[in-house]
Amino acid sequence: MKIENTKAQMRKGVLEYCILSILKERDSYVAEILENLKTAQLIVVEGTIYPLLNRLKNADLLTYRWEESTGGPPRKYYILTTKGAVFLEELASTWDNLQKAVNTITNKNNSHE
Amino acid sequence: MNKTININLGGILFHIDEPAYLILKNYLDNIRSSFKNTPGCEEIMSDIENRIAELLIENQKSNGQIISVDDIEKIIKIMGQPEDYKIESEEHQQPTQSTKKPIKKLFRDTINGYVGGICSGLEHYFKIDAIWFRLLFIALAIASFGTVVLVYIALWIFIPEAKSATQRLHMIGEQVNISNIEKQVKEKFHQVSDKLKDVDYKNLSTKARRKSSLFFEKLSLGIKNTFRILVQILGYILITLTSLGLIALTFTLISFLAFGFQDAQWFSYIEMVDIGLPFWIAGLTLYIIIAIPLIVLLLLGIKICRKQDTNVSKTTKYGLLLLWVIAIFTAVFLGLRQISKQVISQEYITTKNLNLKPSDTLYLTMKGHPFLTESIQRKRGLEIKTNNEGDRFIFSKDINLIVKKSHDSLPKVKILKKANATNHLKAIEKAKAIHYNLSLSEKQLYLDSFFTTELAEKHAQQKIEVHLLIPENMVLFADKSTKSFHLNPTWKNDLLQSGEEEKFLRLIDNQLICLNCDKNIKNLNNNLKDSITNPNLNN
Repeated sequence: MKIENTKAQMRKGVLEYCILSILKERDSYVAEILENLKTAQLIVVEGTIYPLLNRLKNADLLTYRWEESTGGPPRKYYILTTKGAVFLEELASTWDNLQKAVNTITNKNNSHE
Repeated sequence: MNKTININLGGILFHIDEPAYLILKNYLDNIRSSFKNTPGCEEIMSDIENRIAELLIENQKSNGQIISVDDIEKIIKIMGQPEDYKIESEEHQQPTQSTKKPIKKLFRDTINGYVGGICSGLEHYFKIDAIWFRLLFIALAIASFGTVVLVYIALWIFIPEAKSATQRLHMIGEQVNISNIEKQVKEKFHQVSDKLKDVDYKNLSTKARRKSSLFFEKLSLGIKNTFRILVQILGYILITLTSLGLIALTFTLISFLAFGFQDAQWFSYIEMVDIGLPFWIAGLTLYIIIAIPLIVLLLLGIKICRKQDTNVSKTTKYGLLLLWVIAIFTAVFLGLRQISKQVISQEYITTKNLNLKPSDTLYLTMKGHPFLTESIQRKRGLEIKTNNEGDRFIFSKDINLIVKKSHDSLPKVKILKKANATNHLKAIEKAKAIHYNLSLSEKQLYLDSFFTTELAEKHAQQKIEVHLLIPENMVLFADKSTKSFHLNPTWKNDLLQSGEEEKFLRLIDNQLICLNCDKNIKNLNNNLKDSITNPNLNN
């Protein structure tokens, strides 16, 4: 089992949660979402996000609108739906619980050492 | 120098380098194929294309700048490999994708090749060093007196050249994916530029360095150099010979069309043949049949010497091929027609009674012609001759003499004139048109050793069989001029055996019995008169 694979899987797991969180703040187009994710060093390459956004959109968690841009192709602004907002809240509480759990376990292990 | 291509990405026009385009296209194709079974594939693709367009614009320093391989590489670095596009739930599909067996096809490797890149192509296909194929080809070419060169040319024509990166990957049997394509594209361009920049030796050494084995490195370098020189020489020889051949051939055709070859011996054979088409068509057909392979060889020679493709368009190539095939078919058609003209064989028979008694001795001599033929010797085939008045006609000495037994008491000569044609009537007409003469003075029978017919009758395998029918008990003296005319197979039932010339032979019971054989031949001449006048006394 390669460490890279495991890392990528962990990142991908939390990506959905993060994307929805970004969109909760404000509607964004893909470059803005990517910028956020890259700053947080959650993704390395951009390719990962497209199928993910598409899947979220197909699950009615997201929707989008087109906006013209200057000198570039029109931008797709993603919007969080109400269904998405509910989904995000659930994810947030799950994440909290997970974080706590992981912290407890890793801290206990660390103190034992 | 590279060609640029205009592409539309996310509704925006970009100018892109050809190799860069190739990489980008393959990149997008691969992503698309990895999303083939995902719902919303088209949407994802258009999102990706939009993003790439956006990135390219950000990257572009000025408007109208051409997108290069580097730009595309940068984009791919940002966007990630097709594998990175996968979501984890689909990950289990990945192994089946990557273990997909790569396709391997036979291509000509013109980058590593010397002549047509066939041996290098075979190297990739069979994973055996090209040098062995080269040696094999040379050995076979020498052993087969050059015939194998034609096989090589055929392979050259039929095996496609590995031009694109995808084809090169198929050739070496590697997975067609982005990184491989990129590698290939880059390698190809490096190699091409290397070829242009570096002198031969350096190029060869870099090439040879890639060989795994040190031993073969040196060996193949030496052989390759020798081979290259040999091929170069072969190229010059090809060019020289084929150009000379073409010039000679063309002059021949022109003079043939302008003047004909009435004097040439071989031409008279052609003239006799009833082609049924103007001669110039036949001449031109023959010219095309010979000239086109020469042209191909000439181009091959040029290609070898210049180490680059001659600027012959595909249309020209296929045009030449088509023309050649048509010429071949025409020749075959003419040949078949010629055969069909000779299918029916007919004979026209005339019989002449000889005014002789059975007790007479018949002297037989083959007669020549003071002007047409000196030698009295049978000769197969027809030729054209001109008489004193300048008339041209067909002449032949294809005459068969057979001695048989007459069923009555009269000696006679049966003349069978034979000819071939498409049908019976024509064949008989042609047979009738044969002129043949014989004469009898006292007891001496003179048979012409030749026959003639009009030039208009053309070649129709005309020949003559002369049957000399003699009654029982008659004595025959065939002189030595007849020797070559009665060499018949046994089934012809010739009573006059070979070697029985210059003898007095009496026909008794279907056999010619020699009358003067027991005598001393030396004395024969002295006693000849007696024995001739009164052969019965000798018995």
